[in-house]
Amino acid sequence: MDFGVIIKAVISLALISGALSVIISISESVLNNYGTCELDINNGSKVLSVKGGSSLLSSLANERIFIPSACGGKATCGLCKVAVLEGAGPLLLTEEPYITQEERAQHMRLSCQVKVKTNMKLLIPDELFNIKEYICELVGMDDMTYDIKRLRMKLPLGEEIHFKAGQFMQFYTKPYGKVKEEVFRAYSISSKASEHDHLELLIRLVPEGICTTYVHTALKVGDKVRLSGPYGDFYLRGEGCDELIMIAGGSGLAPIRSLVYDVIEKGLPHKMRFFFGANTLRDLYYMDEFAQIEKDYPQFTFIPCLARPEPEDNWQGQTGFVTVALEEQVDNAEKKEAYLCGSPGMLNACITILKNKGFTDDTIFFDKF
Amino acid sequence: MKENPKDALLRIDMEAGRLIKEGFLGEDERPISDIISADLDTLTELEVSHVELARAMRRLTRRGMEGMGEVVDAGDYLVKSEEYMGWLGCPFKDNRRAAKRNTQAVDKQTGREMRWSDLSIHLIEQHAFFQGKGSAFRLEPAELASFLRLPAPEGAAE
Repeated sequence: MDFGVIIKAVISLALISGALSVIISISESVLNNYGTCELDINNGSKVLSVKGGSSLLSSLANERIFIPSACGGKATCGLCKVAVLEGAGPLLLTEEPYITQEERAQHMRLSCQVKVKTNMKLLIPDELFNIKEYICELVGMDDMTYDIKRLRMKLPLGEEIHFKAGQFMQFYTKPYGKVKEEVFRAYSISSKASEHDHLELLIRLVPEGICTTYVHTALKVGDKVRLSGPYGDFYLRGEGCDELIMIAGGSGLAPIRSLVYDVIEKGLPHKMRFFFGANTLRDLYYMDEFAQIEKDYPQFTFIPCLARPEPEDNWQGQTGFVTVALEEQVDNAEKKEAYLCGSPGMLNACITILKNKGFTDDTIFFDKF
Repeated sequence: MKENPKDALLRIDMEAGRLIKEGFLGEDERPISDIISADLDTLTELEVSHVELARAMRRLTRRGMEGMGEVVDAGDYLVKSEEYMGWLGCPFKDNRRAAKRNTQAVDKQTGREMRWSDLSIHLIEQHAFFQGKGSAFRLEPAELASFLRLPAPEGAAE
C-alpha cells in the first residue's frame, strides 16, 4: 500500500476522533451545566454560591466545610450524612442502605451521593465549622516499633489548631503506585492539645493498607501533607468521676497519650490507670516517657501488659492479655470512666469485662473508626 | 458479554487503589456478574453453597480471634487471626463494614494453607463474590470447599 495513503488515513482518523472529543465535551458541558446554585446552611446563617454539578460533599469541601467521611465519597462508609431540607431530589439507590427510616424523616442524605443541581437548604451541626484543612510540612518521622511510625507535622506559619485531646484527623495520601487518586483515613492525634502549631500521629502499617503503605513506603521528611480536622467525640468527660481507666493496644496509644497530658496540664484531679496491651517487648513503645510521667505524677499508673513475652525479653511486668489485667485490677465502675482505643477484637473483649463490672454505655468511650 | 451499567460502576470501585490497595479484581476482565455466575456454577457442581463456605470460614476466624494474634489449635486446623484498627466498607455498598482482620488457616493433615479477610467472608456470604482471578484475596471456590472439607460427607456431624 502507498505510504502516503496510510499517512492520510491516520491523519483523517485523528481528525475525526478529535472532532468527536470536542463534540462530546461541548455536549457534556451543556447537558451537565447546572449553573450557580445557592446552598443555604442552617436557615440562612450561611449562604454559599457554588458551581453545580459536583457532589454536595465536595462542593462543601471546596467551601472549606468538611463533613466527616471515611471512604472518600465512595458510598461505603455512610458517615457523610447531612440534613438536606430542599433540593436533593428523591433518595438514591446507593443511599438507601445507609439511611434509616428515622433519618429519612429528618431528611438525612449521603452528601457524597447527592449532586448539587439546584438551590439547596441544609442543616449542618455547628461543631463541623471548626474543622479546617491544613497543609503541613512533615518535619519528623520516627520508627516507634518495627511497624509503627510517629509523624510530626508543622502547621503553616501563622496557623493554629485547637482540638480536644482524643480527637482525630483525616490524613490524605497523594497518588502512588497503583493508587491513582487521593485517599484519606482517620488517625488519632497523639500530641498535646496545648501544642497548637504541630501535630503528631502514630501510624501502624496494615498489610495491603492503602494509606499506611503510603506512609511507610512513600512519604519522606520535608513532604507536604494534607490534613483536615479535628473530628470525633472521643474526648475527656470526667465530670463526677474520680478515676479514668485507659486501655489501648498498638497505635491506639495515640489518643490516650494526648488525654494523659491533657489531664496533667489542666491540673485535673483524676487518677489515671493506663493498661497498654502488646504481644512482645518489641511491640512496646513510649515506655521511658510513661515511666517518667508515673514518677512525676503519682495520680498516673502505667500498666504495660505483654501477651507472650519472649524469654530474652526478661519481662518482669504484667503478663497475659490486657483483658486479664483489667479483670484482676479494676474492681468496680464506681466513679470511673473508661477510654479505649485499639482493634475491634480488643475493644469488644474489654467492653464486655467493663460492663460486667458495672460500666455503662455512658461511661465507656471509644472511637468507632 | 457487555457489562451492565451497575456492574460497570462497581468495577470502578473494585479497581486497585480505590477501596483497597490491590483492588478486588486482579487481572480478571470478565464482567462481575460473569465472575459470580461462573463461581456459583462450580459450587452447584460441588453441591455446596457460598453461604456454607462463608460460615465455615467465619467459624475458623472466630477460633483464631481467641488467640488474639497467637496460633490457635482449632481441631483439623491451626488458625491465626490478626487484626488492625479500622474497617473496610463493602464495595457492593450494602452498609456493611468488615473489621480489618486477616485469618491464616493451615490444614494439620495436609499442611495446605489458606488466608482470607473478614471482608472476603462477607463478600462470599452475601454476594457470592470470590473476587477476580489474580486478586490477592481471590479464593478458588473448589479449592476452598476442599480445604474446608465441604460438603461434609453424608452422616458426618456438623
